[in-house]
Amino acid sequence: MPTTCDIVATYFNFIWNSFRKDYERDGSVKKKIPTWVTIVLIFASIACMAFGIYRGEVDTVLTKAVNICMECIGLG
Amino acid sequence: MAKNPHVLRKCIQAGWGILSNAYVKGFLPGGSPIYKGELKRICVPGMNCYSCPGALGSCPIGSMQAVFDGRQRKFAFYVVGYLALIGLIVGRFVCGWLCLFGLIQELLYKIPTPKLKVPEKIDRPLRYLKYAVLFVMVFALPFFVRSEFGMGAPFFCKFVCPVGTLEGGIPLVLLNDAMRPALGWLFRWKFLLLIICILSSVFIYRPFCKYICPLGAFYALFQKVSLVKMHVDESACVNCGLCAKTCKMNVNPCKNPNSGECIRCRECINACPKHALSMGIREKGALGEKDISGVMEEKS
Repeated sequence: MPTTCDIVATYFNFIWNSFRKDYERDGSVKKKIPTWVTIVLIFASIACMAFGIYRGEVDTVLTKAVNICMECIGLG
Repeated sequence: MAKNPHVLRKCIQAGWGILSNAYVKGFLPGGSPIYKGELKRICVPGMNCYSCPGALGSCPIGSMQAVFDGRQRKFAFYVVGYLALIGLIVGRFVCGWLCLFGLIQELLYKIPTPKLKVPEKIDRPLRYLKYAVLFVMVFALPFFVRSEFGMGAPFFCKFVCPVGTLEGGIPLVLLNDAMRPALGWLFRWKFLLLIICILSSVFIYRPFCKYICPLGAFYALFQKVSLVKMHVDESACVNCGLCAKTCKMNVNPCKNPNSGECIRCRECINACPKHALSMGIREKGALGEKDISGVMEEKS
């Protein structure tokens, strides 16, 4: 029975290898990252955004943006 | 619309720059110095200071730090998710097409002077600097360093960002007399960085984007997994090296078409005499993965 650590390590290894083996040193294409990885990451990013909106981060952004940011303009 | 692809890209960059800074009242005396409406809940995809008198949207890097440096030490899920989504769809396309500061640097580079080619020994390690800026000045310092009142600070915006000085600081100081007495060492420091950035842009192509920009670094992380990718038709490529010579970001599109340094300006595609390069959405998984535009061409 694989432990949680094993599963995480397997997934991490898979993703890492996907990136690492994209191109050989001489530039030839060895293996491309499957599209499903991108799709999963897109859903993850949407979920991430939704969670941030749910937590009220948009209000934090708005509050910061509607006031002049003294640090940004070099006065703060 | 302009048929020349270079002019078309410049038009889109300029059009986007005007659109995202279209609050004209901010530039007029007597009105509110900056836009305070609901649109500022949304971040623009490129570097654009939200303290610019004309800015209609928020700066993603500033917004990220605003969430990180709050009293409650929150992770910026909204902004990180938003930027990751853009990066996963188009990679650094935003840098090449929708960044006003990128356009400004490109226009400065057009000034006819001898151009400087940064030696590879210096150029290569310097490219990693933007990742350090992203992880240290945008993520780590605003998140962990606290003042005696328990508040963090937007370290990148405060100490580095020349965009804030150019788009926010200078116009606001020129338009508002009351701000002038507040100018101190920090403004002088940021003004100096802006001058360095402007002068180096005359001799080096997009130096800020290559070496400093944390937003470019963030998008670059997704370049190899983004939906829209560069593709090389190896059967058509004759290794003439014209694409690598054309690329001002010093990428070799034949060897590494989805390099983190590529801003997807399409100049290599336009330069390729054999039409071996293309940019498009991938159709299927690892095997049989093709650019949709390539498939359409084959069918026709």
